[in-house]
Amino acid sequence: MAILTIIIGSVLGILLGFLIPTIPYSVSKYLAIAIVAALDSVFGGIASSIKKNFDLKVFISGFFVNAIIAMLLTYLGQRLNVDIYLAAIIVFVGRMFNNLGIIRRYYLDKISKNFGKGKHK
Amino acid sequence: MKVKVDKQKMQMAIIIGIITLLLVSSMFIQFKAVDKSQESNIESLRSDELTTQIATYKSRYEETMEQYEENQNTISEYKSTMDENKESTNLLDKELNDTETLLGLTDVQGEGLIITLKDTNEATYTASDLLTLINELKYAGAEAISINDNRVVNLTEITAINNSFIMMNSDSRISSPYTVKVIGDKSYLMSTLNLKNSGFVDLMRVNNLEITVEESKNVVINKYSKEITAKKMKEVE
Repeated sequence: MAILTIIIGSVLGILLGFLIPTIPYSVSKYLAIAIVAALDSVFGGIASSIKKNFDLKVFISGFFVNAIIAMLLTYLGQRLNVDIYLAAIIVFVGRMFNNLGIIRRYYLDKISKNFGKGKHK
Repeated sequence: MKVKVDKQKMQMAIIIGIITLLLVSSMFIQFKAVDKSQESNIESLRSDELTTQIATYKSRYEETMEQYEENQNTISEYKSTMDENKESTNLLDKELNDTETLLGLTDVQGEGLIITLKDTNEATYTASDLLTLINELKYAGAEAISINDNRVVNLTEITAINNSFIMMNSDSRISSPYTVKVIGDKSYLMSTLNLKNSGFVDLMRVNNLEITVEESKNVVINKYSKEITAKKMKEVE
């Protein structure tokens, strides 16, 4: 069910992305940081679902609030002439790799268990 | 219970779908924006590229500036040359003007005398009287002379036609009364004309001719009305 909605959402998203007129370059900076924050939330969600402590509220709030705060920080950084968005990217991407590591290890474990089943028993 | 769980799952799936939609669409919007900006815009360039470009533009700007200054210098040179030319033109103009004034080709004014000569019943003025008068005036430093508004220039001749007419400047007939206008130092002119016994005034009065001499602070003398041309003479080289 969830996979189906993900596929539908992706297809509709691609279509929508092509239909929406091109945004100005100055705004695309904020959108980029929001995308990174959202991706971080998504990977965090996947990781937490693997750990069996997935909470939809936490996921949704993380998805939106992180994105918005990242954009606000970017804006603040631009006003202050400090590249705060770099810090946000480091945090988000670092967490993304963390979560990816959790996901990777989970599936590695799963695969090796399957292999082990066949070999040892 | 099972239905409730399904409902929850459904809800979750829909929310995940919406989030996917949001994420993917925003990603594609961003891809498009970045692609487009990379095609054309200077804004999309990385900072080091921008730095080199700025350096290039700066050097170009400096070159252009140098050239501009050079051009400006050339322009100012030309301008000064032009001014010099103008000056020489002005000088030439002034010289020409002066020459014309001296030749009698311009209207002139200045202090001088107005002499009126009138024939009487006993005697008439002759051409030689006028010549004598003009000679005397010239001797006294007259700068411009006219008789009955005919300018006396260096080519002017005064000859008698008959008893009552005198010819002047080739075709001007003049007759009594003669008004002779002179520009020059008026006291000098006056004293020359009024010399006792040998002065022009006395000589004429002795001959029973009428003569009045008036001083004026501003005598106006018209220009010579004809052209002065040289057909035969040439400058010796």
